[in-house]
Amino acid sequence: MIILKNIDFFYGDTQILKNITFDIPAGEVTTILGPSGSGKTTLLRILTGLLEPAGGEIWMREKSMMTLSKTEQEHIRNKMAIVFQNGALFDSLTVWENVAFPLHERFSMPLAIIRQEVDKLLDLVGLQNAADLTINQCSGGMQMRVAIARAFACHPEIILYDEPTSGLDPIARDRICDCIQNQQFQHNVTSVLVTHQLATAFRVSKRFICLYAGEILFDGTADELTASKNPYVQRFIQPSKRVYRALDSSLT
Amino acid sequence: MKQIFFEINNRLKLIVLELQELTLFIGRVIRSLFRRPRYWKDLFDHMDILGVGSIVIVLIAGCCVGAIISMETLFQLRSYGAQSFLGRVTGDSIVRGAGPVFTAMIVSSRICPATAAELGSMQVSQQIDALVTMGIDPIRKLITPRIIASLFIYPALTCAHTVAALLSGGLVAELSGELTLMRFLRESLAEVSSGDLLWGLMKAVVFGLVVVTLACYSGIRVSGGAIGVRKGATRAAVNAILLILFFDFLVTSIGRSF
Repeated sequence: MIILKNIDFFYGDTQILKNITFDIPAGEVTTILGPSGSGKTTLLRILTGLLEPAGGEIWMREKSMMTLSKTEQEHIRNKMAIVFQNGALFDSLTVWENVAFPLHERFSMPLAIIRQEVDKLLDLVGLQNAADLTINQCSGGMQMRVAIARAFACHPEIILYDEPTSGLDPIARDRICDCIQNQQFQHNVTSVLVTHQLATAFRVSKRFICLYAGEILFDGTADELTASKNPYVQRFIQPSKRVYRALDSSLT
Repeated sequence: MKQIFFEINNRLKLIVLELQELTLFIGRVIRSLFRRPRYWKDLFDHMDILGVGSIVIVLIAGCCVGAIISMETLFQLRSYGAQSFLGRVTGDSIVRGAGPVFTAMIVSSRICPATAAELGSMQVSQQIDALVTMGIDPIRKLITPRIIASLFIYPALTCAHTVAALLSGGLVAELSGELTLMRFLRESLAEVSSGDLLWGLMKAVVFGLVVVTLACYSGIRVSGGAIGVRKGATRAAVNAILLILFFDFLVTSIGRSF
């Protein structure tokens, strides 16, 4: 479980996150919703250790990260992987090499095992025929799936997804949602999904945290979210209520 | 008046902060030189890019520099009737002065903006963040191999440049009818002690170390998209040339005072 307590963050004099407190239960998908500029990505970057919060505490594996040495922090964060919004793929490498990268560079696995592992991961994300393409030859959806396969290659216990489906067509979005759900069901991976696309969020997640201007406006289940009386939450989810109802009725 | 002091204060703060960042960066680079894992493949790749990629241009430049120094020196010496000193004077200038400086300038103008642009675009596209989140130290993976490669390749290229310059200088002497090529080379080398050679190579090591480290720093500090990458690459190129000249002055003053 990850616990965030009173997290504050500033860019210069501008406060981006204000007193953020919530927990992320193990083995579940937690979605952080919010409009652009509400501090969602900043929160993910703080979780990965790429940014230092100005105040507050982060607890992982029942240890406060602030009290740990840099090496101990790295040891815990090595169990975490992030899928960046733009993929952050190595554009000088092919699809296959990108997925193989952490296996070779971090785990120093033998080539035969890397081959097996990469082929399995590319199969999982439906890119077995794109292994030799360079990143520039891949579409946005393919790039995002490569990024997901690369994150899975690290065998993480926690995966953070930053807008994994934004700008993608419904088929590519569905594939990515399948990948997220597979990881949760098969490997019990804890996932944090940052998005402003409610269709994706409702599909993969049961718990929702809504950020607005760096503050938590809402924390609860899908039903509680749709029933929320908060005007900002209402404005944010209104267009997607139909989607949720349609999904809900199709499931029942 | 208050506004001016405020502005000066802000600028000074920025300079101090930049120096602090640079010092921390150099500290991390030095630490990473002695730590595992070592990226041998990356080291050999950078040696190839730096060495094999620059050798032709360095040799061509060496031929031009040697010929020019030889011609200009001959012109000066003729007015004193001291043409027979051509080999000695030219040899010393090339080995201690022109060789390391010209090599460093040529190689740096090729490598520094490219390094800064490559690292800068990796920074802008979050590839460096991706490395960090994978538990891979970007300093160790991206920067240390470049710096170690420069330690070996700058002196090697300086040697190649010096040989080319001496040969072309000798050729000019031969064609002018003042000295034979063999006599030119014999006199050049007789004038140059092993200390001079070492001094020239040490200069090359210092230049390589300083300019490649600063080019990496300019690249890794890039922010703000394509314009940031352009600024980083420009800063790397300009800093490289200025630093080579500054360190040449520094090292030469120290060397000549002994």
